[in-house]
Amino acid sequence: MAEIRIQNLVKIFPGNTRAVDDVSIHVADGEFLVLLGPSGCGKTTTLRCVAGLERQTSGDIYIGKRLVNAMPPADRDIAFVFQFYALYPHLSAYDNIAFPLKAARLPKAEVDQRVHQVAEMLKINHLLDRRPKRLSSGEQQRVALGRAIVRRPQVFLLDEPLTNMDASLRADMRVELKHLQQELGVTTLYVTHDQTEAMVMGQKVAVMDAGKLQQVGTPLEVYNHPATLFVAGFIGSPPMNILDVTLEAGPSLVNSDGAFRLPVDTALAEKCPPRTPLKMGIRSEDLHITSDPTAGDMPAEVYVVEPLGDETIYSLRFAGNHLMLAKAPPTLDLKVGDKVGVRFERSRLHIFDVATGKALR
Amino acid sequence: MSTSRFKVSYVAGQIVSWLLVALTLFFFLFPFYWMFLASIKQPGDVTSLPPRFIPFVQFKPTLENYAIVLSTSAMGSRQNTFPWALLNSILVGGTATVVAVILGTLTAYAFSRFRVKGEADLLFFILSTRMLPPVVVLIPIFLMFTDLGLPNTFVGITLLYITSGLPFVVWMMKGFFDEIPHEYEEAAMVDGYSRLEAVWKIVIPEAFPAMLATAVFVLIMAWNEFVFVTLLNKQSWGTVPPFLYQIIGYGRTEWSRMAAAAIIYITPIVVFTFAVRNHLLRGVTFGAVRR
Repeated sequence: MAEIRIQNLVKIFPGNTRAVDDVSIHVADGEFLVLLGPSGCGKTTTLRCVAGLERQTSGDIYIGKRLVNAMPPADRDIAFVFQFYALYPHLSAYDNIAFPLKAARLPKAEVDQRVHQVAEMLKINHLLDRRPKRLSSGEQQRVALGRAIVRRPQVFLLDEPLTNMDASLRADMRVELKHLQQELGVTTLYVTHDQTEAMVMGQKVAVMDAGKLQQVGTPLEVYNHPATLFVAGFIGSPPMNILDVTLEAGPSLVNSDGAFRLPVDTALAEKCPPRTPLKMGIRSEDLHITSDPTAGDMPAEVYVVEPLGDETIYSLRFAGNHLMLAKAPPTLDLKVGDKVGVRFERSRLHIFDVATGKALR
Repeated sequence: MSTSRFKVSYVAGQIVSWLLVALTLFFFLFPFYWMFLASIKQPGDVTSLPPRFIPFVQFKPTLENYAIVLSTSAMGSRQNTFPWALLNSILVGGTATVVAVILGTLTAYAFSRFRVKGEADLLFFILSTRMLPPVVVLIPIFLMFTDLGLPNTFVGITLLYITSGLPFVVWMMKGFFDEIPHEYEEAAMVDGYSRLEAVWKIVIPEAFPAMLATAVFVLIMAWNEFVFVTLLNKQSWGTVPPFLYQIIGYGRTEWSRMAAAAIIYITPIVVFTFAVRNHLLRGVTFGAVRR
């Protein structure tokens, strides 16, 4: 087992595309870290640099104590699972799994024993003589995982391994993969664009956007304390409500047309520079709807109702035509056009600097 | 009844489609049958009118033509016999095909997988060598070959066929490699193999049908080439096409000997094409079934 240390990684592709821009990530020994971001954010490129399939423009990569910058992939002692599985089509499932062991020139008996052990673990014993073409996508994924596990590498690198599966299979594999990683205790770097996968599976989540690392933390840290405006908008479903505001005397947050005016406590006000453009963010579960408003509640009107069964998401229209989403229990049965009052959970307000995108609180 | 009407139209459709198949087959296969007949006829029977189609009934078949064609003494000088020409064809065509396919495959792999400077221009240059009719470069090539002492040599004519086969191989194989996901080699490289091992163990087995399909085309091209070999290898290392042409020249035309020689000459190609026909189909339809 080994840790992965990525230091100031930069990858510039021909045509001057900065795919990865000064990214530093540390994955502790045995840790499951998910690299999360929209497509084209540089997460896969980062992973490929760690694998040695791509050579970084600058920066250092350590696997364990070894600096692997110039080391070919074969010598890095890693396993890589591809989005399209990349099973060798002309080889049976057995030979696919045995392939890395043959590279290591292990004796035949040991190859056989280890392939069967892995097949047992993944419940694919009965599929070993089949070619990849005759396997379902779930089975193919298991064989691909088998090929990764069988050589007992220092590090697992997984590139969107669940993206090509249908939803129910994906949920099953998520659980299984997490369990497998815990059982094996192998340091894992997992790339996905699916925030649910990231939240459910990762011990830590690293969020990337436009080649830059936005935030690294536990899933709850990233959810509760987004470090940048991008993280706030990217993580969470429905996405966080964001509004352009400035801090004015009162103290309160006021939007440009003055129709929206939210009084805030002085502790928060002290962190915000006065009269500079800010963005205010609040999650839908931190807006509380009451059908009989009292003083201090913000008046609003129900604009759209989205019942999800276990909860209902209301789109609310505030003065000045601002829309915000609020979650409510299904017992609160409101109709479009109903006048309601909204209480903002002020302790859970997020304030961002517009210029830098960084969280002020 | 509608079912019986359906049956009738179904049967009619079957008959029409079988007729069409039969007609097509007749169109393509009859010349071969005619050539085969000519090869087992006595000289007099070949040109007889009305033509004789049925051996044993209309004429007495003979294998004499094959015997004459295959003997090393019956026709022309010692070096200039059909068995020699056939051997030359096999050596030249086989070598040219193997070398062109290997070199072309490696070139195509490099173009497909690596960032090559000026890739589009280079590929176009390779293709452009096939753009003008070969006859146009006949004289320059003849002069160059003469300066280099290449006429009447195995190396010269083989080199020429390799050169003319290469662009085709590069373009065909580049198309195939582009269809093979690069993740295959990457997976193998992560699994502990070098790039060369990954290519050998993973990419080549995948590309093999395509290589066979390409080889068929290159071989046929070399097998059929007439103009250059006639001009360059007049004295030695002549292949079968100029030899066949020579037979016409000897007094009266020996149709039945020509037919016998032609039958022998097409056999290796037919056998090879037939042996790889499944690969050929897969090779040609390669891109259509991936991902």
